[in-house]
Amino acid sequence: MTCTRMEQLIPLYVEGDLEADTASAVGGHVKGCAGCRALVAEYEASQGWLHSYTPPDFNEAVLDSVRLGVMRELQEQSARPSFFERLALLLTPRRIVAATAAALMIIAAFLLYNVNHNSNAGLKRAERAFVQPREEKPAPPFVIPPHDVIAPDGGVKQVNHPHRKKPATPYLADKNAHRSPRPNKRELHNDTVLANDNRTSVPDESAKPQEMLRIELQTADPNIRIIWLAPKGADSQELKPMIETR
Amino acid sequence: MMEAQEEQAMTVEVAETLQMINGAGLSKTAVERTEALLIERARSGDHAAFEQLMICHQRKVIAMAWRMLGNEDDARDAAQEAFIKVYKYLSSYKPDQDFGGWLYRIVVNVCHDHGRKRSQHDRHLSFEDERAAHHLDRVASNENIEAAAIQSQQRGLIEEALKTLSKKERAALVLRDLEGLPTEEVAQILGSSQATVRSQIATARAKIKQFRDRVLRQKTRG
Repeated sequence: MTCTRMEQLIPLYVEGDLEADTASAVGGHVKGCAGCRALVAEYEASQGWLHSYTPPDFNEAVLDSVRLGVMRELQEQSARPSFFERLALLLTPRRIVAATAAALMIIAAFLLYNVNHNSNAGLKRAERAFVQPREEKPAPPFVIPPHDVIAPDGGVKQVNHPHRKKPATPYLADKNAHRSPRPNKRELHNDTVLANDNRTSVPDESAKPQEMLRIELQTADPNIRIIWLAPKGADSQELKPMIETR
Repeated sequence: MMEAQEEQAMTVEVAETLQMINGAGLSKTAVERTEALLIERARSGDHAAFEQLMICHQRKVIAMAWRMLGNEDDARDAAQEAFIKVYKYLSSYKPDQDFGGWLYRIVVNVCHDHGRKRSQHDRHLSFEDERAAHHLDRVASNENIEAAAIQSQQRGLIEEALKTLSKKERAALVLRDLEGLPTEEVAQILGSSQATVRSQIATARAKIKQFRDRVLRQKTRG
């Protein structure tokens, strides 16, 4: 046991807070060490000074005031309704009925909104299905007003038409129109052979540029379209249809 | 109606028995049994029984609060608050627990909360304050007045010394050295281990000694 260790143990030794064996060891060291013996005396004086810290003698008036204050508070607390009692006071039958009706209305409104929303979504889906024609059904024939035409000189002439209903057909946008046409997948019958092999894509350079009248006719078969091209004012004998197949 | 009258009569009988016990110094077991009876009745909402319980413990509670807080006003407020909490949490008190220790725990916690709330300007009770508070009513002679003045001054110094301690150190020191409770009970009240309490007490005693040494050195120089 060193004196440094003694300094830590002596505060507990003076009031008997050490274990028996430790207390015995400290006691033995203190007997042989003057410095530690002086330290023990100082701590005993300090503890004696601390023990003189006695509270004032509280008279009966002080004690009564504390007690009465407590009893008053307890009386008030017991008189005060509890949370559930206050809630019960607030919830009169009329208020309960009104709150229930309001809640039911909100729930009904929410359900109606949900039903409406779902039915609208279903209707829209049905409309889309109805509007989009199935591929196997043939499109009804209609006349496509003239739009972009290929002039005899090979150039593409745009004819402004206010009621353009379909976008430019693929063959009009064909940039290789001046070349020989692509082979069609379907063979043409003899009686529908084009009168003019050049069609519109092979211009006659020697021909004088003329305004062409163009009539397109879509057959019941979506893959077959009939196109009439004729110079304006041409004889009807010269008008021959051109059949395009895809 | 009959039941209420019977209950009231029983409460009065219990209170009278308790007063007899306190005055006659009967056995601890008898006191504990009577106290248990009062606690049981207070738990069921008997305010009169709770008041009797307060009478048994109020001096101890106020003294403890005074040692923790250092002045009478705070001690009174803390004691009042502690008793209100005792009543509120009486349902959680287990009969096999030591009621005194359980009560001390509540007082310590209330004093800690009170210490946090109170203002920076802490004052100890000066001699003049004590005279104004009629604590010196019993003092008759001049010698006694002088002794009371010295005692008041000592109290002020010790209060200053206790302020150098942390909250936990002060609580451990007050319970062990001033209330005289064993270390085991102090540890239970504070919710710490005995080793922790011993360490806190050792530190607290060292700080008190250092403060006292400084005061004595100043007196010697002055």
